[in-house]
Amino acid sequence: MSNQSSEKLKSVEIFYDIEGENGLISFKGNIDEDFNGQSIIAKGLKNFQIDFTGVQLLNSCGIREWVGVVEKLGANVKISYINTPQIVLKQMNIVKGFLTSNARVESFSAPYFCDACEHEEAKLLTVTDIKNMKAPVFPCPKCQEPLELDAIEKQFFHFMTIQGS
Amino acid sequence: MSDTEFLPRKIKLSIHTKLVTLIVGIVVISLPSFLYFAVDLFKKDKSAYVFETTLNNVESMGQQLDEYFKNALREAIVVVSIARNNSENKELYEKIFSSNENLMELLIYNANDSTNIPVMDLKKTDWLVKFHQNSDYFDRLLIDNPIPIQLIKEKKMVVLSTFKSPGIPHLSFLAYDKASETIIVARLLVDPIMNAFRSGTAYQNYVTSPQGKLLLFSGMENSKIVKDAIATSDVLKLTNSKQQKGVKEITKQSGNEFLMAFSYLPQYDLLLISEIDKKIAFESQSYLINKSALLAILLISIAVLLGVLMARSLTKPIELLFEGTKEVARGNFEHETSITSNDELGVLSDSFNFMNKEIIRYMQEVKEKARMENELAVANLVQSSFFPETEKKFGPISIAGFYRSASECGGDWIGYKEFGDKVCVFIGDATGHGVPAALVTATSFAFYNLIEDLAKNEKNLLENPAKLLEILNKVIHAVGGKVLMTLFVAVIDKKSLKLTYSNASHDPPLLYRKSDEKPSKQDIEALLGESGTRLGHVLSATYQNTQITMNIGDILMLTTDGIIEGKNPDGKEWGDRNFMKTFLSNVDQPAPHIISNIVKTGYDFFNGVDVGDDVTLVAVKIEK
Repeated sequence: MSNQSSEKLKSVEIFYDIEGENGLISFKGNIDEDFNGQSIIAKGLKNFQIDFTGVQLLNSCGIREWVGVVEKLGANVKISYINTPQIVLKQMNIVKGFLTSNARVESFSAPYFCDACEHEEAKLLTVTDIKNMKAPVFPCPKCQEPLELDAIEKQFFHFMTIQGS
Repeated sequence: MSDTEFLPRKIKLSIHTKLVTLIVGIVVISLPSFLYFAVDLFKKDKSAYVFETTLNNVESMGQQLDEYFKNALREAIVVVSIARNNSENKELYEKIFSSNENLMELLIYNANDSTNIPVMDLKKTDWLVKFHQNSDYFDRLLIDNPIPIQLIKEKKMVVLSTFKSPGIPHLSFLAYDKASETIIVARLLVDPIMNAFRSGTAYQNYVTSPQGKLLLFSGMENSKIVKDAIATSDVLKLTNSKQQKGVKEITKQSGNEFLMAFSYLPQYDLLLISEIDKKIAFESQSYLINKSALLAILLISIAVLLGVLMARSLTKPIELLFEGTKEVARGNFEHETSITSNDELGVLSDSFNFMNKEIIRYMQEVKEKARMENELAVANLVQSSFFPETEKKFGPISIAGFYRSASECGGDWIGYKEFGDKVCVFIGDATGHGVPAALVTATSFAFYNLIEDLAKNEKNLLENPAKLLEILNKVIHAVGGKVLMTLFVAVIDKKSLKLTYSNASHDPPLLYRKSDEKPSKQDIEALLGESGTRLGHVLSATYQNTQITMNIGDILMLTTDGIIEGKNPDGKEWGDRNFMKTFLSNVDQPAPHIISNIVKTGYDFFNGVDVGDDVTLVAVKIEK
């Protein structure tokens, strides 16, 4: 039976759903200079599922704080990121230390765009959807023309080359 | 500063004057008004009482007179009855007659006898001596005052004044007894009734005929009518109305005012009058009114005095506060008003003093803020020197840059410099922005200016941007490790166009490869070579070099996230796609135009919305 709780910080609320050594941690708000991940570390979990869906802003100070949390959690825990929003995925691609060897992105949001009708939408993909660093192509829901990844694929999927197995 | 400089308005009518006027006005108007109405009410009440008392007096007198006549008639009838039934016992009825102290003479007439000779005549002859009268006194009375038998028969009872001074003061009471056809004439001493009349010394009592003829009055024994006695005209004033009784105010010929109560006794056709001088009647009223007036004056004086003192207690604190405001206006914010009263003015004084302290604090804050703004302006000026010219050309390498800070001091930094055959390009972004981030950019700039000297001691340093990052990482780490910095360094060989770069977690620059086709996304690649930690994060961090070769027409686009994450008024990000689209549409332009067109398009999209972050771009284009 899981134990659910939450913690209200200055700019973000952290939600915990913990069962034994496994925990789903989600956020609502901004991860910035006011973020403090001490309570996440204090949970002493072995397996973290991190859901950043509710994060509206992740600035450079917030990245610094989160990287600090990941470092303090150490290499013995497993971190899997689910439903990773684009703003977070972008930082994972850029910032060394965000995506460590013990962490994996399981699922993420990807921007899609139809050149024909300019329809755009975000699609939730899993790493298994990505073959040879190529994004799957979908039919546009409006015009049935190809709906393609609206990013440079190598750059967007760069995280797959640096994350743990 | 004189008062007139900041107080152009003069006080013409002070609050103190207004308050005093108000208080005095209220007191002077209200108290006398109250007194007037109270006295008026008292006067009316007192008048009603006096009138009623006067009327009661005359009614009481009427009852006594009526009783007096009825007693006389009863006793006369007793005497007559005894005389008739026991005519032989003359001694008995004479004894009864003699025992009546009020009866002076009793005459009995046969009502049907026209001779006018009494059938019985009883006299108290001993009174003649007592009153010094001759023996023919009673005979003269009859001669002077014949008995009006016909009148008596008509009226049943008649009272006549048959007394003439000197003589025995009396009244003649005449009654008709129809049963016995007898006329009774009783001459009654007036002393008993006069004594009753005199009992109320303040009142002067009269018995008159309705026509004003005086029948009974004080002093009639000596025919001395008191000064200002009632006159026939006064009586007629009372009887003009058809009232049986009442009280009237009469002004006598002497000018004195009297209250006159009258009561008409129809059975005797007599008018009883009781009069009293108004001055005497209302003496107590006048006394009370005078005392009330004095008390009112005293109360008004006290109220005015208290009002003036109260007004002073109110206006004095106001004056102190006014003086306080003048002091503040002169710039003396440390002035304190000391009002000790525990009322609104006392609280206002505390508030005023607190406000002054807050103004001092605020002024110090403003001063401090101005100092800091001044320092920031200086810092901004200094920081602007950290940035290179916006356009630079190093052989075939054309570079254009743009930088706009989100605040006085930014956290982005760019630099491009020529070191012999090498051109170094830097772009970095310190965490946050403002002074702490600017200090890190200053550190980077200082290092940037030492590169040439460092290169003298370390061979191939300019071909090793990773080494540059490692050195700079140590420098920034030494700053404190709180502010980190992403930094991308590219070293381009002007001849071979080989580009060696190293990245410390900076957003990978985009490289546009010149194509004969229409520029598309496929022509752009991100420089995704091994990226190291941000500068300052880990002291011993190492970085890797990656090398590529550029060609003519290729463009390296370096940015920080500011312009891409900028939003329009709808809250929509400009985004990678718009940025790339604008970039691709300008790849044929010279580097400065590429930058200016991207910046213009981006800011047009933002449409005045603050980007909230530093906006920094550098375009490096290889030209022929």
